[in-house]
Amino acid sequence: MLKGSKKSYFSSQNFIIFLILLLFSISSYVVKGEFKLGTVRNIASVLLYPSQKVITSTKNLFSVYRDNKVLRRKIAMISLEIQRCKNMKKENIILRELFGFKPILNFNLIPGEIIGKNPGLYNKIFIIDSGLKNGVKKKLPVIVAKGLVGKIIESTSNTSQVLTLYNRNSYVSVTDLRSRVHGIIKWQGGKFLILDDVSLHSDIKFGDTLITSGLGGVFPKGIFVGSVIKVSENPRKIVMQIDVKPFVDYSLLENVFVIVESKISHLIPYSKKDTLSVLLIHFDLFVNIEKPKGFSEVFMSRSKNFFHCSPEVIQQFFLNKEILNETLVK
Amino acid sequence: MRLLLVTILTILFVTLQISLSPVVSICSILPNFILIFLFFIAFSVGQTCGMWVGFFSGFLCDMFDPPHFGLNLTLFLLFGFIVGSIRAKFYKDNLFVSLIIFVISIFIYEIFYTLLLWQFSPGVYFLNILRYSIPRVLYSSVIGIFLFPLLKRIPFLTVKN
Repeated sequence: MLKGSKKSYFSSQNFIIFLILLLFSISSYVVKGEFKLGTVRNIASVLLYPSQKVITSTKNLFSVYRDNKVLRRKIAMISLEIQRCKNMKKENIILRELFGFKPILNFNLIPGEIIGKNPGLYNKIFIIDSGLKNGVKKKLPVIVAKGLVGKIIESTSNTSQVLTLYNRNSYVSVTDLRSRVHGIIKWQGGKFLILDDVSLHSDIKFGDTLITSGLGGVFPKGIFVGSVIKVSENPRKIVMQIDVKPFVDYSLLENVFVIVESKISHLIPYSKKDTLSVLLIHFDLFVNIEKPKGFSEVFMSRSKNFFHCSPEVIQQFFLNKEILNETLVK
Repeated sequence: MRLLLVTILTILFVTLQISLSPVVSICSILPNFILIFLFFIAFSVGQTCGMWVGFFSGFLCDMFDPPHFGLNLTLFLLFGFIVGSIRAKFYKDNLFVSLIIFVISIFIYEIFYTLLLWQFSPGVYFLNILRYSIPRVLYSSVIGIFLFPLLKRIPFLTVKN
């Protein structure tokens, strides 16, 4: 009797359907990335988008007043910082041109609100409310003010998925800001990230800041990633074991920015660039007068006479333009 | 009627999991709303319903986790089917009994999830189970205490086959 009931159970229609579904799900897990689910994913995001948006908007309503207060203070501080940065950017463009470096790319930022996080055990993937309609595409880097968040791995018309650094599939090439040692940031479980591929006895210390190196072509150079919190050298291994704490607190993230590459910023012709022409005029004048303090030999570039000098000296030119003019007149 | 209701509730619980669970997380521990709903459906309605809800919710979840596509799909399907299969052996109307089975079943689910996710890094199994899985089981159980009676009150949802 028992034997018979078992037999009928395993041959029942329900069990056969279960086996087919199980076979499908296991095979989909085994082939993973091989699946092309673009259309299905679009349908899923359309199904879930309205309810996701409602929940997120309701949640945000409660924090608007508090955020507003904090943001106003931040804006005041940041606008001062922007003024400084604008000056430094101008100087940087001029210096890069002087030393023959490629012009830096200009970037646009597309804001995105986090409307979901994947239901797994760990914060591996975020869903943001910017998609193809907003110009967000695959492989674009995602940042916040504190540093790197991750990159876009999927985009539908209204939403995109962000692969964070806390994911086994995430690898970021980084450089130590102090010693310029290169390495790869990855996650192998646990609370912190790991800096891999750093050979033994490399110059990495506790507290060092890591920035993106620009290698790999996905993340632009110079985005802050995290700081070194533990360095250990095991003589049996050929690489160092380094723990890194990211600057971004993933549990508190609400809004992010997607970096979209825009046109290369062409240098403005000298005659039209006020600050640069001031610099050139002064340099031309210097040829005929006594070599000023802080300058070394002359070199030729674009039919103009230039001096070699430290960036600090050039910075002084911009900051004390009037003083310089007075000095020259004298 | 029940099919439509179950479909809507599945979508709702997947959305809750994706959007609301990070808001109510405690020290990065997220409750699993989908498992709560899936357990309720499988335990109170039956094997077939549990299997399909598991498959559908797993599929929706994996849409938002492309690198591990199929992981939730497989586990939710198995969870729904197995819980639906053992329901006949227990007295379903007792909340305490339901809760005990819920805790045991989601703990087993978490162990399998961790094993499958970290298949190439055996060193982290135990650590992750201790750090994340156990607190998550407890948190989900607490939420389950409040959600099970609410779900039971929804008309047409638990009508007998």
